[in-house]
Amino acid sequence: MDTYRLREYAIAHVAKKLSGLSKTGMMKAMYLLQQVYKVPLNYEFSIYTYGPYDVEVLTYTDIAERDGLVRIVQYDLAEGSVGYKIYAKSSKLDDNFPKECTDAIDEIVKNFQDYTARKWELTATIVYVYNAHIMNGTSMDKSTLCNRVYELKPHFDKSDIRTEYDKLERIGFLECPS
Amino acid sequence: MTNSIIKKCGGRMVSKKYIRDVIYGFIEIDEQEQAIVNHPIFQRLRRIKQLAFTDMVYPGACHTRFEHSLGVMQMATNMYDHIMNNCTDTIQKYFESADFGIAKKRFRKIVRLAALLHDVGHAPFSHAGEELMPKRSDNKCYDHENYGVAAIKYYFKELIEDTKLGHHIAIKVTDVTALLDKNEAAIYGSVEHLFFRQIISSQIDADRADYLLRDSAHIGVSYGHYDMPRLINCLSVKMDKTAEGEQYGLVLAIDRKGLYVAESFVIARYQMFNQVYCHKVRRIYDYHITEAIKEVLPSIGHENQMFPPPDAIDEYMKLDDWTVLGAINKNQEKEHCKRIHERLHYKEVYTTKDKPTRTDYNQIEKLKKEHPVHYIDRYEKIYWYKPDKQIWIAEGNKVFTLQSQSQFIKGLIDPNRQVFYTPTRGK
Repeated sequence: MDTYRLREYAIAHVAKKLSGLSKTGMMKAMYLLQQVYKVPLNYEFSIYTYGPYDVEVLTYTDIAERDGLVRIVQYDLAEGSVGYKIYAKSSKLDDNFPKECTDAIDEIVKNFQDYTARKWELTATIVYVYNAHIMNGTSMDKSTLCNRVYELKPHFDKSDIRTEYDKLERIGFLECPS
Repeated sequence: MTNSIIKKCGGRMVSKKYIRDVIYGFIEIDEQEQAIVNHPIFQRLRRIKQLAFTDMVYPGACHTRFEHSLGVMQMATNMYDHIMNNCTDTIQKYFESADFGIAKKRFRKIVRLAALLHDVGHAPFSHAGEELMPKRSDNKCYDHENYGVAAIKYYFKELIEDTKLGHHIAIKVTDVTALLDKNEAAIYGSVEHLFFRQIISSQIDADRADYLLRDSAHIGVSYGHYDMPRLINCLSVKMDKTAEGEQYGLVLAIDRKGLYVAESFVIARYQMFNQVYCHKVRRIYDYHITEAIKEVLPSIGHENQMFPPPDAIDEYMKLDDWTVLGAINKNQEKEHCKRIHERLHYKEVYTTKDKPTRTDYNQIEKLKKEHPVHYIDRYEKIYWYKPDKQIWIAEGNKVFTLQSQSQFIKGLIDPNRQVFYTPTRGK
């Protein structure tokens, strides 16, 4: 399966298993699939105020909608903002979708199925910051990592960051020397 | 540079210079920026053309990364000043800086320096040369931003951190690199850096805002023009909210009243992509120059036909358009050097639709058999262009994407066409 089809079907599979997922949730789920589970989606995630982001994920969500795989529903939020929910549209998805991708999606569903957009953002940001340090060859302990995330995301409580870090460590997403 | 003037600033005399520019009239640069511009590594950008061999189609396309870098600094400053003066409450609340006045000055400087240096890591012939960058530890290729970060840290650290030159505003080199590179942002950045990165790199950034106008002006086309003052005046800053109504992130947006200038900005880039940056002749010269660089790299000390990695930044910085063209001139017997030298570029014989059909694919397969020597340009591999549909549009407290507000923009499709070239036009 080529990258472009893989991207489209990964979105459809996630939408099927996490029905009504937000666009933020989809963005971060794709990030974790690629970064943690090494699904070769070939996105170029960069970090912004709203966490790891590659506009291409939104592009491929639209393509999946255009090709009849998902349905995107806009709805009004509190304080006049607008949100989007993504639903699987086609019950029959490509049989050639690689089993390792399905397994990875099942793992993500198991670990994050009740997550709000805000929690997706925090989780993905912790993983992003951790991996940036690994890429840079910089070692850091849990406290340093959590402080780093807090500097980038001061609207999260430090205790929430530590709690999420502990969960990610427990499920094997990262490991810092204590 | 022209018009040097002396002004009093913070108790000492500061020399400012004004550089004549095709877009802004004059660009003001202070002493610190002058020192950076005068550095040989920055001057190297005079020897890297902005649009590679686009001048084979549009003879005016001979401008360089040097003037574009100065232009991006001016554009980024215009954007920064507008949002900081018009969205003060939103930004001040979000940043919670102890002294907003100082933070405002400090980040203005950081944004200016990041914009000035954003292209300092470019390879010879700009994007065409990027295919020859070696692989990183994660198996992806280095990009010009990786080289840029290495160059800024190696050559410009002292100038950036010189508080005397920088008017007593304390800046670290990592403040600048955090605006330019995603990993640097994660390792050294703050919430402010993440926000201001949007001026340097986003769908409505200073880079594309400058190059559309500049490229159009030099080439003599109108496709890339948009209403720049209107775009800047409509820039806004909004807090995006999560489904639970919680604070999510501060986004750089365009006010609803600027919807049409946002549309024209996206259309301008779409038109420039189709008619200039991806003109069939320009694209085939990108192929020839990449192959020619591979042919000549061994003759200038790079046996593996790749550029040196960022940790050999001194070696990399010796390469520019001039060194490559000199080597091509000395190696005219080589296939692609000769084609460039004698203007014997491959010819386009077939172009698919933007979204290729089954008939298109069949035709490409047929041509492959008929022409064993060929080149297929696949637009889906052009990583630096996709229609900018996700620009944020702000209305009251709401933030929307441009494509949700404009059927016109929503209708733009990603160009995935393929172009088949052969050495001669014979069918």
